[in-house]
Amino acid sequence: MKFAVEKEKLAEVVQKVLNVVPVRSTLPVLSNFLLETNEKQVSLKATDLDVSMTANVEAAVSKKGALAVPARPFADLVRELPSGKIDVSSTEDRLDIKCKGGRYKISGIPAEDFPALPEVYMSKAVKLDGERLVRMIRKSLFAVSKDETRPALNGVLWHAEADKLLMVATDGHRLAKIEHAKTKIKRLTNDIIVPPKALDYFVRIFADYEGNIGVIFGESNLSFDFGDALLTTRLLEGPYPNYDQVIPKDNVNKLVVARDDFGQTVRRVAILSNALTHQIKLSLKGTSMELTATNFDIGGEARETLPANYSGKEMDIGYNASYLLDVVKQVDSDELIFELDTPTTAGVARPNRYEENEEYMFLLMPLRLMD
Amino acid sequence: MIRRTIFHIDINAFFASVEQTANPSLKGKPIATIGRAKRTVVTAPSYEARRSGVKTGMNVWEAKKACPSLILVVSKNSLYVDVSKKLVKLYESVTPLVEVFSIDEAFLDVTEVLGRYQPEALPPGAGNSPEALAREIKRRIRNQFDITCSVGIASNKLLAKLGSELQKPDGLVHLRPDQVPQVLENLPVDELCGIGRRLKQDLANLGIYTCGQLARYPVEILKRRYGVRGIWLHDMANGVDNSEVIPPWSLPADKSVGHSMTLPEDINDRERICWYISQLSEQVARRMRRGHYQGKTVSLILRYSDFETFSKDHTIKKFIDSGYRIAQVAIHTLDTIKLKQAIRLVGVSVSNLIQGTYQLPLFEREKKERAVTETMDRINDKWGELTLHPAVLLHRHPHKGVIAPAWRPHGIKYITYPNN
Repeated sequence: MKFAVEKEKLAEVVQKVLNVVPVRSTLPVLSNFLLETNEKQVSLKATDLDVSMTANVEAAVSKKGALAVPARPFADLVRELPSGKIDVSSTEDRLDIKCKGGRYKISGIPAEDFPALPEVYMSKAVKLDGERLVRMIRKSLFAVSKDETRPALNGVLWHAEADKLLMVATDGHRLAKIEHAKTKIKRLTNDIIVPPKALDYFVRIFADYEGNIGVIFGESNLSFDFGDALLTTRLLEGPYPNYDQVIPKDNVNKLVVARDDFGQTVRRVAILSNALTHQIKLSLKGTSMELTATNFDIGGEARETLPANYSGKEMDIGYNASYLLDVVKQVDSDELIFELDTPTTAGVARPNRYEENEEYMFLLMPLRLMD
Repeated sequence: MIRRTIFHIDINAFFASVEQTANPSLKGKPIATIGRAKRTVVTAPSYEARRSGVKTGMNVWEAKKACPSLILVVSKNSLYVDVSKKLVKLYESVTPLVEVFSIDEAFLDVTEVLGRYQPEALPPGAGNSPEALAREIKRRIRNQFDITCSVGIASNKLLAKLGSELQKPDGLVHLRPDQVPQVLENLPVDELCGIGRRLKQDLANLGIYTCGQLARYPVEILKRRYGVRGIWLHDMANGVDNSEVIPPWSLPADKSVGHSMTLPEDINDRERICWYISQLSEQVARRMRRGHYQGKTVSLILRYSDFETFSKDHTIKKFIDSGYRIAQVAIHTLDTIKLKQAIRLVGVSVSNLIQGTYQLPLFEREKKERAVTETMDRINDKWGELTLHPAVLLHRHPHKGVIAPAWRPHGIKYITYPNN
């Protein structure tokens, strides 16, 4: 293998792919990048067996080849190299890097020892708007369960119906659902459950990506094609619980609040709530609502009233403040609407207006208040 | 500080007395209650048996040797718990300030009862003097339960407890301030509550054997050697104790709920350890639910054959109160430990507790789980512990039959014993 490449271009790709390299792994080979060349490009690959990434960079390739090299020292080195052209060549098990006035060598392992990445059928790609995808992922990802006892909940459910793409996430106590109409998706034969790690990389690494992204729905994998980079994730096994069944259709008690005021008040009141439950109580009545919290451990008591538009039965309802704040953070409109039934059943939270072709809502189970 | 009047009430040979009352044919005979396990010991000898030299903690063979006519009775813990709870109720009808010290001992602060008001429950005159009040309580205990007790009366808990020790059975001792130095003078230091074998040995190294000697020992030296405990030792030896009678309703909030058991034999087998973990988890979960607790840190406590004891905990994302979930976490923890020896004791404990409030579940499965558990709890409340239980407890190990010293009739320290 022998090629020449611009340092800046290589460094950018290296940093991207480094995200996927596991910090600790029982399989030492996973702490390597696989360097591969074709006629005009060098590709860099990394995997943790769940998520894998391939990124390409233009290069003047004079001899094709492949070698796996330790990812972290290689990335550190490339970052520190002086700007300009660098020459890279490999012997059977060593990488030789030359830059202006410098020469660095690093031992690698044969490419055959690097795990094979899942095969991706690029021709099956469906083009989806990148910005939309980022929005949808952000609005669902936060609700994914971190509890390991129900593995299916440790991912975001993707469901397609006609030209609509739907994402659902839940931790068993709250749920996020967002749908986007008029996508180029025809239909997905099966619902898929996408683990959060790849989605997190997606929104972190490719947040600024403009334009369409190719999404490839594989048998047991999902891939995102960003042109010069490909992100692939293994899918989770279902079944996913029947989320539609738990979404209340006719909650009649309606609360409308100003999103920012509500968010600030909840943040303040929550400071003096129980440190473990984060319980705050909403007392709903007429044109205002009262938010209260107590923390016996520090003798803390918080109480604040907030103008609100409430039409429905008078009630006290308890919530985990962090759940409320998550909702406030995800709602884009200036007003926030709650549709409630009773203090022990699911309530719906949603914005008062949506962007074109988009609809989302959050489901919150209350905290049972102490008698 | 106003002068307080504290009672310490100690039921005489509690388990044995309850047995003799329950089965009158045992009255007046030397009997001893024993645990249910294979290698069990005497938990309480009756006074008749004590006179022949039978002591608590003797094994069955030693006890029979000391008293060949000894009648052994397997402990009926649920019965003792029941009587103990009724006794506490009786005390609480006299004063709200009742501290349950163990299953058969309690402290009562009767200062207010004697001074300012007369509870309606008391006959005229019973509140006139500490002795009259004590006699009234003793009379009621005799009438209601047919058992006797020793009452110590003094100005603090330490002296009241000493007082009740002085006359057994059926005692009533009022330790007045002027009598205190004389009583303490030749009292061995380990008769004081809180001085165990090691501290006794340590004090002996200083030439201190009796409370009199301890009282005269320079407090500065005690302080240097034991820190704040030095002052506490000095105070105790002088009969000073300012600690309050703490009723259950003013106890600090619970930090953890746990349960442990010494296994009938040391085991290596993972499957059997898991099975004990499941059993303990069910017991812990039941007590948590009774106290309306949920927790998210589960600790597994293990003791090797050589008594090396260690614990490892795991914190999960959700608050739980089901035995199945607790066991799941504890077994997961077990699988991260490489056992070096056979296991002698297994314990499960849950901390990071929330009380009274919990996050309601969204999905049917969790709702059903909770409904099933709540229904089982109600059935067990009504028909007795373990009337309905998870199948994992089918071949459960019978309870050892010994009530732990930490037992209390309230809160999560309250353990119910199955009727078997």
